[in-house]
Amino acid sequence: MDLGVYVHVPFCERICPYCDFAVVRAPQLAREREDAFVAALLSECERRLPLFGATRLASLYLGGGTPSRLRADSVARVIERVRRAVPASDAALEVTLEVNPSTTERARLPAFREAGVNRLSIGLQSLDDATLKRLGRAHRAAEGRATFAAARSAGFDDVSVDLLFAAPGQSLAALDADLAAFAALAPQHVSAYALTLEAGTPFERAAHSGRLALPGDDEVAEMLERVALRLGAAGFARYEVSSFARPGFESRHNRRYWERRPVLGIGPGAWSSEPPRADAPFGARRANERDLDAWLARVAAGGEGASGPPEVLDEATARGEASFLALRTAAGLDARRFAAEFGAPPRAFYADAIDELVAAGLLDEGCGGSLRLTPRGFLLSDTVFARFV
Amino acid sequence: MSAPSGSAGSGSGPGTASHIRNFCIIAHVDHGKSTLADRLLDVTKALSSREKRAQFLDKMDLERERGITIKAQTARIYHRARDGKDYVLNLIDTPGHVDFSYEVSRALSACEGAVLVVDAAQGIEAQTLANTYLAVDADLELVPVLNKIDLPSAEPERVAREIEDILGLPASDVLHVSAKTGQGIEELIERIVERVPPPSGDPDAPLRALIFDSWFDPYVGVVLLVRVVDGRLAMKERIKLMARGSEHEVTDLDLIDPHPRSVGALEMGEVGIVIAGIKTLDDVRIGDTITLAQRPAPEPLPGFREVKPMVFAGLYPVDADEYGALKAALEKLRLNDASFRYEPETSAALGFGFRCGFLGFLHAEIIQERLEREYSLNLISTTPTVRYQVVQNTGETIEIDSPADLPDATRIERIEEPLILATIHVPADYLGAVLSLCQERRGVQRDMSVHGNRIQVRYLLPLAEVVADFHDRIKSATRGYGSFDYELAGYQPGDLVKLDVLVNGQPVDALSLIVHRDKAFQRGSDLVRKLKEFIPRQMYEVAIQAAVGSRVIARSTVKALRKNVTAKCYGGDISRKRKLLEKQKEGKKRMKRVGQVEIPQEAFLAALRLDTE
Repeated sequence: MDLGVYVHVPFCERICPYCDFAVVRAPQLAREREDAFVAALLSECERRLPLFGATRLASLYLGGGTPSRLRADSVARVIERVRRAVPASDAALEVTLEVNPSTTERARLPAFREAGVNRLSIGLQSLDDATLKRLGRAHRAAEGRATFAAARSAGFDDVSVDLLFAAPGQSLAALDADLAAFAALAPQHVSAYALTLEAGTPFERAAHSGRLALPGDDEVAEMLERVALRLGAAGFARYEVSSFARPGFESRHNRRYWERRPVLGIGPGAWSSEPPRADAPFGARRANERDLDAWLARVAAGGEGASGPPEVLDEATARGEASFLALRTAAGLDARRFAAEFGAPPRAFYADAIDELVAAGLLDEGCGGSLRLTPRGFLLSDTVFARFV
Repeated sequence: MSAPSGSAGSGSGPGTASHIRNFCIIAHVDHGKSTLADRLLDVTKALSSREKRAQFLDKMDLERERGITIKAQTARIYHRARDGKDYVLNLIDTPGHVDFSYEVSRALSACEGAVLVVDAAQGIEAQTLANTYLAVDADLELVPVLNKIDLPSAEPERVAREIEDILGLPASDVLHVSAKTGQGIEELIERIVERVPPPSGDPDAPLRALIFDSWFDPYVGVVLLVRVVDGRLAMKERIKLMARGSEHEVTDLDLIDPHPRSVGALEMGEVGIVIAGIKTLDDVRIGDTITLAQRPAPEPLPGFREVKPMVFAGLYPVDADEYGALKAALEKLRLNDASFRYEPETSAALGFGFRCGFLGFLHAEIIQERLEREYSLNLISTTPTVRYQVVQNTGETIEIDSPADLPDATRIERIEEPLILATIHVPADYLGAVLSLCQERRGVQRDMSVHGNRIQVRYLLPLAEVVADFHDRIKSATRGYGSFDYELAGYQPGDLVKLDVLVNGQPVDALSLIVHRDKAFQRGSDLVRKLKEFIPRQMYEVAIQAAVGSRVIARSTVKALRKNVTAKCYGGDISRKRKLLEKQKEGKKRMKRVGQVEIPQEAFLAALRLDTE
């Protein structure tokens, strides 16, 4: 059984007003604090890795927060520890690091590469200063470009960038400009997200009281179409709702989630997808303590970082998840693979939904019963998915 | 003064009723009818308590076992009058509100006299008048009384003059009482003895007893409250209900003393309880005549009629799971209210529910309120409708009480709608508001009269125009000072059309209406606007139309949903996203489907509550 490992690093220079991840504001990350944190990561890793019984490491993903705020030697220790525990072939292993476009981190890029990182995910979000400002981001377009260039200089040939759109006050024209600028950078991968208002964030509160001039639904729909169109034209294939890549550069780690493969999550707020076991034949999911100090305390006490019992998936829930997660991808829901796990092809469980969604032009049903979203289905994907849960 | 403690309590024995006075109290709501009744009963209870206590207490348990409950404030009052003779006064309760005018009329016809109560501060109101007319129709001797004479705001002289002016009863005849303090109560009882004639039936004629009230008792079944008009009714006799044609054996006869007290017989002129093993209220009709199976009367008592529901509405549970609870609640309510009807009805839009028939709109309101309050049900009601008479091209007339039953317009010669004659009393300041409300409701003024600062105006109005909110509107237009009463006033042809609401061409059955043509456009536009507000964007564009026949009179469009996307979905997000999707799915489940269109319950609620906006 292969395994992906996700490492959550919660520290951020500042907290973005739309973010609801497990994050900790830490303008300066003191050496002792960082060392204690990394020690805890390693300790949790030690304790939990064996439980997964993995025989091969497929991916390692350092996300956050801002994992690039860690020193390169810290990142190296994490990578080294995980690799020592689970065998991996250098060629097949994807090691991704999320990078924030700031000066400090830019300087560390060669050392990160040295540490074993072979894929970067840069939080560009936009290459338009006005948009960045309205998003409450600390960096500006020039820093984004500089970081991207530094990544290339450091020898990274697999670079993903984040594109955030439907920002307050953003026009379709501004998005067009952003898309052109992103395409010109020529990354290998783009993760394109429409801004989502998450409960409890400053943006949500502002929007609620009418202080945030967000584009309307129809405008966002046009933006979504524009993103798919422009990125497609620039040679990026949409392989998932929000993910675009040049052929061969799809994120192997993220794929694991949509294919429901095991992932060990370590660090505060990280989630694990545990492989099927006798008492959980469809797998289980488990969340780590979200609060940094609480997580540290748990790990220090020799316990697991996870708080509460695992969410054991029953067959019907697993079937629903298998459907909507696979449908997120361009490859879609493979009827044979589905039948192998659940005993019958999707139509056996979702005939009415499939017929209606096909009639409405949101879903394509291939021969053999495999299912795929249509272009309009990608715009209304939640409407489709709601019929499968 | 002492209460007779003798055998049957009928005083002078069979054959004579000269000691009996049967009377009721009539009043506008809140003028103190119940308090006065309580006070009258208190007087008699106080007088008899010492003598009766032992006997009474002995009987308590027995009564509990027997379990007859007295629903109404009907009871006997014993009184030794100034003339030195002992009298029995039967106070007969009347139903309290306007939709029950037939029941009121039956209760009145069980009496020879009526105490007319007028609030000494408020003066004559709409129901005072309506009830007085009913009493006059029933040939009752009126005993006018000013109540609440103790209030600082009482104006006995003014109100007495009003009574003389409007009702033609001499002001000098009007008694001053306070049900609250007891002032004038003795005088009132004397006056009843003096003025109200004794029963004048034929004690030797075949039995004729009027059923003027009935209720269901879980222990003994149906309890009949009767007035023996002619003849005599004894235990074990076999009785026949003349209108129903059914026969039963009398198992119990009681006087209400004020608790049920078994007697061997009810004599001519008496008021009492008959229990005869009748299972459901449906087997009994108010106003029916009881006679003896062996020696039937040739003619029943006059005035009987079948009461028909006049107002109809579909009642649906907001939560489909409450259908069973609603059914059970309706069954229970109907046990005690045979005038209310229901039958199962299915609506494509609202699911499973019941088509209910009510005597009037207040009755409808009361039933709905009881269902919601006493049975904790959350209900959605279709727009109340009335019973129309539809004359078809073939000459055949059909009655319909649901827009769904209206034949195609091409087959209709004309539609006739029920009218009411509304009597409205209002302080002069609010007259304008009332007149424009009546006008707006297609009313035709019949007459208007001025009494000091108060004005009485009578309007002929289509019943359909008052079923929804007329009463509330009168109250708010007059800040509560206006009062309203009505009687049914026959049928009249109207330019009526069926208004349908369609979503993507499919009619939404729950929103169909029969309306006057002049109002169809406004109503249609309002409905369309409301629905657009509440129907969420969905996979397809949704066209909302209001149509009369094939002619669309209002339209609007809910544009197709263009995006519904969750951007990221990794790791732990999966559980969260799945839960959001499940929530979305649950939300859809609660929506009603009309064709391909999903309509949230709130849309129906909003559309059906347009009236009360």
